[in-house]
Amino acid sequence: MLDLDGDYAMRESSLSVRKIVIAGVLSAITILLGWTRLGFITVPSIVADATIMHVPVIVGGVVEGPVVGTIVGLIFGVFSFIQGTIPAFKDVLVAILPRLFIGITAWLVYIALKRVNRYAAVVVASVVGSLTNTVGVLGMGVVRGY
Amino acid sequence: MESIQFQRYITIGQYVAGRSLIHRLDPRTKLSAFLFLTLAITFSRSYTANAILLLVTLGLVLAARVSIRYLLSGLRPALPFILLLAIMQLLFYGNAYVPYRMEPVTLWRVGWIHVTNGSIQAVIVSTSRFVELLFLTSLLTNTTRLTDLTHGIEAMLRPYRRLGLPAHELSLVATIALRFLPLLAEQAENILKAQASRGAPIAQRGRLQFVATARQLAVLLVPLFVDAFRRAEDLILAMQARCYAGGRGRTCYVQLQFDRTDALVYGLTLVFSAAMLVLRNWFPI
Amino acid sequence: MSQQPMIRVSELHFAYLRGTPMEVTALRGICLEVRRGERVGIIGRAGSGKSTLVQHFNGLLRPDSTGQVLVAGSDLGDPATDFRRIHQQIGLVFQTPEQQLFERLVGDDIAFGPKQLGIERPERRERVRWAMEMVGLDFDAFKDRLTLSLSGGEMRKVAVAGVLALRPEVLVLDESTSGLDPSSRREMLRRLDRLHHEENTTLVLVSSSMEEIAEHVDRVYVLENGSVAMHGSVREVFAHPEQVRKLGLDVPQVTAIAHELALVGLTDGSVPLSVPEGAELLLAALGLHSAQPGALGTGDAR
Repeated sequence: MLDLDGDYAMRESSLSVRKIVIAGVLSAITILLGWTRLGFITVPSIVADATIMHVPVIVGGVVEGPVVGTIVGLIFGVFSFIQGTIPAFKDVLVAILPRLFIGITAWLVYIALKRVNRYAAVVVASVVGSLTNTVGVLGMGVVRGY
Repeated sequence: MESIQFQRYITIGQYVAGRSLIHRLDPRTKLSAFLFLTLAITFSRSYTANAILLLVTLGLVLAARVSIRYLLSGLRPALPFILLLAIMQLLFYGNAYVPYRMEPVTLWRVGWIHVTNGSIQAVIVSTSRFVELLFLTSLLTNTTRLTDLTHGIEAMLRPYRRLGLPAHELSLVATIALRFLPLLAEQAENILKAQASRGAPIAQRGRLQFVATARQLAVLLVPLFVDAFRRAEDLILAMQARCYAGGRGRTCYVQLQFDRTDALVYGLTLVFSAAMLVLRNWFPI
Repeated sequence: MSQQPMIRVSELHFAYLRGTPMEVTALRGICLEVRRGERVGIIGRAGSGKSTLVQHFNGLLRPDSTGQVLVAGSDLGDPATDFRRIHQQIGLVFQTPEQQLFERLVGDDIAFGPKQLGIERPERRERVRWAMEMVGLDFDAFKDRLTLSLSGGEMRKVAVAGVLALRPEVLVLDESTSGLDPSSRREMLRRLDRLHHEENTTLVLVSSSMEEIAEHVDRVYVLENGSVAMHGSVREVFAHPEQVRKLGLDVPQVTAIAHELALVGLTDGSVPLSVPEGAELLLAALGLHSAQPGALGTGDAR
């Protein structure tokens, strides 16, 4: 695969062509999943959440690093904000802020464990990412009094 | 099981051509107006405020000459969930909401169920907020070409370049996302059809689907991701072949024109939203 | 051949995104029949409605208010129909079917269909084995390969096997040879013929390639702009090359040549579909006899 990233002006930008495109495509998947409500698991509770919408965020974080993970997380958050049908999700701090960290935590776990066992690293990263999402959102929800 | 057609539901991201007033506005105006109105909507709790906002939204829809039916169809996938949550809110959240400008009155209390005028208000306000935001968002993308939209975002973010924000790159991410959305929707549709033809338990979509297991989702997600990454690789190659080098020093063929109508709309929405925000606790009910 | 046709379509209309500003009518009043054990071709140029039509055969798409689709006696417009059963009876292979592969291992992916049907493990294994044999993939060599590590052609075979494993009575293939090189294409068609011969599977081939259709189906429907423009046996339809051309398609070269010759009175007007037949015809016209029938068809390695 041609990778000219290191060779010319792109170096000055924090986003290479590859990262831009992958971030874009993963964001598209995120929006698609949310908008068509595919795989929306509703467990009647205070926080009814889309449990697979964060998968592209984790993929972005693990495959392309924290910047891409944060971008896709941002899209996830913004989308969740726009779409939110309960008051908790209409709050920027609940819908968007925790989502920014999903990609970062997944990435951190992945690079930490990758030398041990790549497959396990991915699995644990996914779990940690999901937890960041759930705990983060619930936590912010509680903090903000919902 | 109804026919699987996803493109029906992607009302966001679809440009619907037209020559209305709204269509002709500068994208920066529309984006700003969208932001201002979103803020106003987010923080308005009273019935009156929401009624006003709803009317304003509908007014904009009419001004844009986009069919309301079309916008409502974007609501369809969300309906069962909205209903479920509305019922939940209504029945169980009695304690959580102090109603606006009213004494909390318990209307019905049986065990866990606790309906108050507060929870009723919460439901109504939440639903109207949702509809308003849905319409506004769809309107924005229905009346603005994607390229214009991203030029607008980039133009608005450009001043922050000095702070290290890669404005152009980010708007490109958004362009790509919006561009791929209908493509991936179609692909998802094809994949689901193929899997359904093999007997995969897709879609009993009319009813509430409580649990979709990881396995059921894998039949869609795995091929979808594979396809998405394949397209991504093609695009990356194409961009590199064209020597794409980021936003630094990049000029643009399309120049956005901000004219008097834009200034007027911008000013009006700004003032209106500010007023709604400042006066949000002053409405009678 | 049973009395009732396997598939009968009457006055089928269908529009995509009905009720939205992007509504587009894909099918207008289609009437069509497929009998058990037949091989039927559906041809037409891009956008003529072929894929839309065949997606009605297994209930993925439902007819609009007018129009009726009957499959093995069941009315697909009736919501009470057992659609799982229909999916099993009518196996639909999509265009670029490789895109449906999702399991890690080849064997698992092929076994997916039977598993959904509730078939137990031992029989499932047999079905997978049979299906793989039918498409030309060695069971032991391929069943534990990683799906995504295969070549495009191999992935396609896996996808087709996945549908075959359902043991459908009717196999519908939507442009399944597109993107394949000529020898892979021939191989696939040969295997389909074998399937038809051994299992009496009814075949419906959707294609825009005339050469393919000509020699592998008995009857053909030509679609244009959502309706049936021509239909009949292959020879009947190809006896009118100008009309076929007007519909954006073409007849096999051999047929076209024979047609030209017939116009100047050189041949008796019979319609050859393959090079061997054409050669026969030509020799007869020149008053010669071939040494053996088909001897001159050497260009075509079968």
